[in-house]
Amino acid sequence: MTVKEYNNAVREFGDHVYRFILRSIKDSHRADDIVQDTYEKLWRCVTEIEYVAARSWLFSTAYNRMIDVIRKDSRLVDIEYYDESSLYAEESHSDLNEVLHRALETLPAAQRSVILLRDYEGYNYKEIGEITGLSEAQVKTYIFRGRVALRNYLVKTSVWQ
Amino acid sequence: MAMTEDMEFPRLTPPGERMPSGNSLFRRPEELTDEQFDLLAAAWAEDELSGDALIELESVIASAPGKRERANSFRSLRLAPGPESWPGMRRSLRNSPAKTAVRRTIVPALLAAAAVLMLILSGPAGAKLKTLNNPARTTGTATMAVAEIPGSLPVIRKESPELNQATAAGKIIQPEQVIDAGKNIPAEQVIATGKIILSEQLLAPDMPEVASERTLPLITMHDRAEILAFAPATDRTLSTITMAKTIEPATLREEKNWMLRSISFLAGAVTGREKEIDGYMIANGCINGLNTILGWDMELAQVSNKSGDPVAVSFSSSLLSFTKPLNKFTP
Repeated sequence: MTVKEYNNAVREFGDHVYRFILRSIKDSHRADDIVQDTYEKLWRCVTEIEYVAARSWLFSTAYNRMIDVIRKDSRLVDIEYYDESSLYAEESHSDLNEVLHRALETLPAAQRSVILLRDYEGYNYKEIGEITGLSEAQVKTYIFRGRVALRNYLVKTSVWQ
Repeated sequence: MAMTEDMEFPRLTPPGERMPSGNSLFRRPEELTDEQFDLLAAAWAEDELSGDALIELESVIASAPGKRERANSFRSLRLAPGPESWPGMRRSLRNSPAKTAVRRTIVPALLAAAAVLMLILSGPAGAKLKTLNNPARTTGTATMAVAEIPGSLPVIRKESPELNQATAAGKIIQPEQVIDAGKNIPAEQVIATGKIILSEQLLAPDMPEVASERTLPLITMHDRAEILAFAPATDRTLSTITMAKTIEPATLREEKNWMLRSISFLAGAVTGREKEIDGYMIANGCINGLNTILGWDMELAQVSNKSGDPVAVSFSSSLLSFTKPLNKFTP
């Protein structure tokens, strides 16, 4: 990858990676740090990575860095567990996308990440599996369960009947 | 259990019994729970169902009117990215090596040039430059009236011993003095009459600022350069007029001392330490800077005698090496 391609990667994918991390951990400073670290890492091995692979490399590296940060902060929720009681709090809502994002925050980290990669970036299951280190079957399961949880949130909060 | 003897190996043959209630275990798609249906519908919304699975889902949907709407609701569960943008993007952009090298070279050079220019302008020579470039408003040590001669008007020559003496003595010259002096000049010395604008910023705080515009015979007390600057091309004969000089030009030594004092002051302000700066330190700093920026390997060393006094400066690089004795009067 050339310096020009690196800068293109910053411009093209920087916001995408940042949004993905921000929505995953809900902390703008940490998200900024994680994305900065990710690009620092990309810069260190800029000559070894092809531009065509840069996007998934960035997401994968940022995801792993985020998991490290979450583990370090002891804030990692069991990926198979989520607190159902937190799903059904009554709240006001104005916009479906906004409510969906609030519902997303209640999901386990792994489900949240795969849904974000699927919806924000349009990755397929195989690509999501490569980024997150999960099998394709696991990715599918997390996405389907996540969708059901999102729907339940909307129903329980009376957004949907 | 029946057992068949073979030649060598005994083999088990499965019995023919059947589970009596086996048929009760069969299920129909309509028997799927809501939770199971939701997972199936979520997969369907992701276009992940095909073949038998899709047929079964369709049969479930057909069996219950509300199921289709429920299944369709999963299709609208799509997150759209928000407007957030990464605040650290600019910090992560990199310059190409060539751009970096140019920036590291050009920017310090321009800054250094600007600093030197500021030093020069704030020094004694700068004061004179200001006087020359701004005839309408005089600042600095000059205590003189500034004459501005409009190009369309004729110019006269006037010799006024009183004005010359006053100017040389550094006294403030009031406009009235100029007018009086102009009136006293003999008619044969008057070349023409013109308009003179006298303006003065007085340095003494108790003196009032003088600014007036008069029509009177002139020439006053300016030096030749200024007269030529303001006189029209047809009046270049004025260049032969000897004018009284009001500002002594700063000597090179004064300028040098001023520069060194200024650099010492800047160095003290930056480092927080009072340290006298000499020419060697400045040169050494420049060489170290060039080594750092360009990756060169130049060296400047001071050679001292037994008593520790510097006697020479030695320069060495891959291309050039020399030793130059120090002038003891060098500041």
